[in-house]
Amino acid sequence: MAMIRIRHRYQIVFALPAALLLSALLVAGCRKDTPNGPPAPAGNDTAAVPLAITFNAVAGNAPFLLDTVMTTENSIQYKVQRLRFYVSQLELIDSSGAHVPVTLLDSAMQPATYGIALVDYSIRGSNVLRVLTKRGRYNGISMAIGVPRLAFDGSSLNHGDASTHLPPLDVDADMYWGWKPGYIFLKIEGFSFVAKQWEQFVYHIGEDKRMMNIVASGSVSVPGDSTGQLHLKANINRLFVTPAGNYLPNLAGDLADRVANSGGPADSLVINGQKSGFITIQQ
Amino acid sequence: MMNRRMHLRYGRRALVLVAACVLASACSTSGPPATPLIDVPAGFPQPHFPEDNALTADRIALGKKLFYDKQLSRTSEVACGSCHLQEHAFADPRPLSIGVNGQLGKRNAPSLANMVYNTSYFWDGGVPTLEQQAIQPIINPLEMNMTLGEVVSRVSADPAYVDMFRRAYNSEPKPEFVTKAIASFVRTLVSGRSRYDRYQQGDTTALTASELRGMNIFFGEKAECFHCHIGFNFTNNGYRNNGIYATYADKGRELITEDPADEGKFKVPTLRNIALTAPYMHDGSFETLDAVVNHYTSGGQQNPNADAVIRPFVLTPQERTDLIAFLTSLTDEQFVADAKFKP
Repeated sequence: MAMIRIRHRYQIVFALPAALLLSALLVAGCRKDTPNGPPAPAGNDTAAVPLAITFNAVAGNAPFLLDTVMTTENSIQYKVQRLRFYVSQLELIDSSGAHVPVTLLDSAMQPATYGIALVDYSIRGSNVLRVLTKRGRYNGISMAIGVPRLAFDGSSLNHGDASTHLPPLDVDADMYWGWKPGYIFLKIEGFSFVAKQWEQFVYHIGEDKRMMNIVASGSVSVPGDSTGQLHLKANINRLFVTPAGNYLPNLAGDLADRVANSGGPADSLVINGQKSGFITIQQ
Repeated sequence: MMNRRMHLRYGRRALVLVAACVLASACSTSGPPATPLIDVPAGFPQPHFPEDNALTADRIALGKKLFYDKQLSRTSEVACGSCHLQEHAFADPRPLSIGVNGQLGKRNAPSLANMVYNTSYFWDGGVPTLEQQAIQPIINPLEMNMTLGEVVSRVSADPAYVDMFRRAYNSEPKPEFVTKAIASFVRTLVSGRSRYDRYQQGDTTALTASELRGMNIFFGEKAECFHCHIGFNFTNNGYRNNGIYATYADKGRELITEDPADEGKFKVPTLRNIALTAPYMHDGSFETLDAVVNHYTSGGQQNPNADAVIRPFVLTPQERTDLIAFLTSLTDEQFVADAKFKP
């Protein structure tokens, strides 16, 4: 009987703290203010070194500037008012072809919540991404232009409730479709010279099936200090040239060619972005 | 052995009791409501609520205040309630709603009755939750043309709002809680107390002879209305092309699915309170129920995606009168006068 009483007391002794612990866990679970964080920096902490990745936008051989007349490879004049895109899933490719994850940092130099950066050419410096990775020599870099379907913690990201998301995935980043919840991966808007006058073009590219998966080959050196730099060329003109050398979407076409968030023009932009040398490594 | 069993039983009960109290209070900042937060009509299923936005009285109160607050629009001209009017079962009597600076919207604002039971939102069904739905009218340049950040900034300047956010979500105002609160209020807009419902519950005097004849036409194989407008909420929650145009300027469901077979398909709306929600269709192009019946009896326009049930049929003048009388019996007078939904 003594044994039984002792066991009973233990049950009460353990029941209350267990319930309190359960309470704390439940309350914490119901008041989730921030999403689960990104994974730990690539490699072990001592091996992670900084690297600055810069997306230098050009239009062929000319520098890319907003609101400035540029010329496509098929001689169409155009000027861009907005150019923004999300960069995610950054990885370096080592000499064996293996993909080495990098840890994207936010402006406070902390691991970025979602591992995603918004490059916006109207915001100075947003085209420079700070990452941590392993020192060494690499043969290329891979990335996605887009927002993954799932977050690090497995919750819905691309199609999740954007009002709960933090920058750069907040609704006010103006890269979110409220009518079809999901992010605009790439937004390029402006005017092209069509039939002797300037006509608007608007391309908003999104949807899971339009993640733009890019591999850029070339030598990348990540030294073991803070000087690591990788310069990428983002050639906007190549977004309008298919891998076969055709000029699609047609910036000088009719409205359906120039204003699109789906269909052929959107698909062409994705294929061109992936296969026509939109992003390359500057040697 | 008896004592051992009792000790074990009491020990387990202690754990279960404490855990039950914890579970009951874990996700709510309010105690159990004295009256149900949603008075579910007879014959209606119990609604479901998202795990991360349990319904509470404080959340409903905050959501109602936001719903009727014109500060949510850039120019402080337009609230949710400007286009979703209670006397019209929270629909808009205008074909197209008018947003900030007099801008015209692109579709007719639908009734918000029974949205808690819907599985998708907007005429093309592109949005899966009421929380996400609440974002779009706020940020749409043709509607409120706001940023969520500016909404938060405005409400944060009002101590009454700050207190309501704290009570509802134990937080300062944030975009997430703006949309969650609005969704909470909209979930309470349940309508199911029409004369038709009273008839369903056994009051054989609730419908007139004409309405009863109309009911038989509605559920019969000549008019075939019930194929789409079925169930307690008079909708199958599907999408149909009902042939109102040969070519659709608004592609409807195709905008979401990118499937040409969905061109011109729109959500099948509830018919509850239909006599109060004119004009009809996604673009408000039919002014009266008579015009709607005319459309369906005519078989509509030739369209490759038109639903198979859209084909010509004949109603006598009396049958037409009876059918419209039945539709009118779906009006829930209590819903459109309910003080708890008013500003």
